Amino acid sequence: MSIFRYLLVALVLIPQMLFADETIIKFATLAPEGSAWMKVMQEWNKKLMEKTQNQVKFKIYSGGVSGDEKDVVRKIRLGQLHSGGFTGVGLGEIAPEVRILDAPLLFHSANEVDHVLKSFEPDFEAAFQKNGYVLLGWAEVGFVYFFTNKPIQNLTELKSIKMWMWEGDPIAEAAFKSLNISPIPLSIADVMTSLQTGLVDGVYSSPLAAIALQWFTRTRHMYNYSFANAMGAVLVSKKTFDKIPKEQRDILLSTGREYLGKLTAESRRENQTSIDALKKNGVMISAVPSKQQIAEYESVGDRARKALVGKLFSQDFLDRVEKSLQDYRTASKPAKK
Amino acid sequence: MTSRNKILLIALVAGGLLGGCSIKQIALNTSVGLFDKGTEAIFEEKDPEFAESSLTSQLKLLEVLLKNDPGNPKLLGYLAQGFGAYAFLFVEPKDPERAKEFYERGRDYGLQLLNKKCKLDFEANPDLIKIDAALRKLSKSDGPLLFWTAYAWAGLASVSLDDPSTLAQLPKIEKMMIAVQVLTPGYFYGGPDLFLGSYYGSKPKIFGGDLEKSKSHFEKAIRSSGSKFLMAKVLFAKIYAISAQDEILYREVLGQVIDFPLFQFPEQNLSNAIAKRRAKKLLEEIHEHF
Repeated sequence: MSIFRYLLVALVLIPQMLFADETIIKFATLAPEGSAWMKVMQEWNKKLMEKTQNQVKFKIYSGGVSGDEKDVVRKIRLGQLHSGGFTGVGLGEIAPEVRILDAPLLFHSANEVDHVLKSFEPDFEAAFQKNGYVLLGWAEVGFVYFFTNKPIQNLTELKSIKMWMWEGDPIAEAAFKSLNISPIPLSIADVMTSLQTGLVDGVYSSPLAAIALQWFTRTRHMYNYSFANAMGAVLVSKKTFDKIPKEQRDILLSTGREYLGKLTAESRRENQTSIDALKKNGVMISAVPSKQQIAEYESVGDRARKALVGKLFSQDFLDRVEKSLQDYRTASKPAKK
Repeated sequence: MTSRNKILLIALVAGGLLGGCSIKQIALNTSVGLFDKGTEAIFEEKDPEFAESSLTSQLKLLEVLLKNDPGNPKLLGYLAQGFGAYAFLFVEPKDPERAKEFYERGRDYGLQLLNKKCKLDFEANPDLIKIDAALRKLSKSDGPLLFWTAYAWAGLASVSLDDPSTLAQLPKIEKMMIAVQVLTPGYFYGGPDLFLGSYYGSKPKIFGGDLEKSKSHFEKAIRSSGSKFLMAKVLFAKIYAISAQDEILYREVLGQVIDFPLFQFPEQNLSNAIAKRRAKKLLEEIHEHF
């Protein structure tokens, strides 16, 4: 073989060798371009490309161009997409037991959420892996509140509201049943029209979502007590993940934890500023319920969570999570003098 | 600063030095009148870099004039339009964070006049029923002011999607643009339709997005200029075609923008020249979207 042939072969082969292991992770999210979500995703992608010398990168489909979360799960199954940003709807499709994180009245604070995520990380990771996914990081939606078109001070008043329920959501179903409320099940896309026509006059969401979905324009009251925390996560299909060399997988995981941690912090900040924005836009925030009312809600939460055992998570998992939270609360209480 | 602008400044300073109120007012009125043609001249400029430097000095001069005649409705209208257009055409593509300041300035100049006309503080008032009632007080001649105020406000919102307080203003902006459509249908080459096409096309369905509505507004906007105002096509591709994941449409529409000869629509040379650059860039990055 002449030297020119060697050169020719080398020229053809070298680029193939260089790019042989390149992985493009097709990622879909409902978050629109320019949102905090997308800003963090882009920063993460930049860091990922830098650390893996462009061998692993995301191709991002933002703003719901790939459909809703159920569509994204289906497309991942078909191999058309590899990764997605999910909330309860998508997480429930993939690994129902993870929805324990959305369970009614489980958490009292963001610190408690962080405690459970950390303490039960192996359980959650195993649940995803068992169903063909790998957790890249949590991306919390935030604490959920009731938004209504008349003021609410107690459970009796709450029961008088024509309350929307996200169609097919077992968590909301159990919560409303325990509250003795008969909600009106609708898809999320129909909520705004239903608020306008008066079919429903109450909804639940995080403060930021109430603004983004513009529900606040039709619900002028926020009940100042959260009945649940809504979790979110970024997952990648195990099939795609396993194709990536070990060293790069580690980078994907570590950068994922770092950047999605930043996103959760940002989301918590945005939910707080959203409450201020809601106030400025004429939404009245109710008084915090009394200790007696809170105790009443807590027992509603206990019943709702029990009702979900066997449907989403096991009794054992619920017991372990509740016990861990109880211990955390006891340890966090300032010691009495 | 252009020589024309220098003359205007000298006239103003001379007016001030002489202390004669009438001389100052004459100089001001003459200057303001000149900007009717000044805006046209900027939009007709083929060279974006030259237009950018002219526009910045023109905007500063307008602010100087406003200081001498606070509340002048013509100046406030020019400033609302000028700052909004400047932010969209020149600043946002390079530095969206910096664009916020200029969009906000454009909106605030517009609101200064609009609030007075409608006897309502649009930014502070959260009541959409009151906003609707206030907008009904406006007449056809207020259409342009309302459009450019809403345009700058929409621009501000589009670069502040991570700011809940700006997001919360979107329902008002939508109402303002719908009101422009009623007052002056097809204003600025279908500007309100362009906003509504972008608005419904950039949101996921669950957030109130509606691709059919988006397409229909974009098509209406494109028809308003007889397909000559190219920015409408660029936004149609960038927003609708990407959201609908229609790669063929994306290529086709952006190809039409690139092939369009500028001389066929001289009154919008500047915006069309920038639209052509954006179309080229969007085609280069096609693999990122489909």
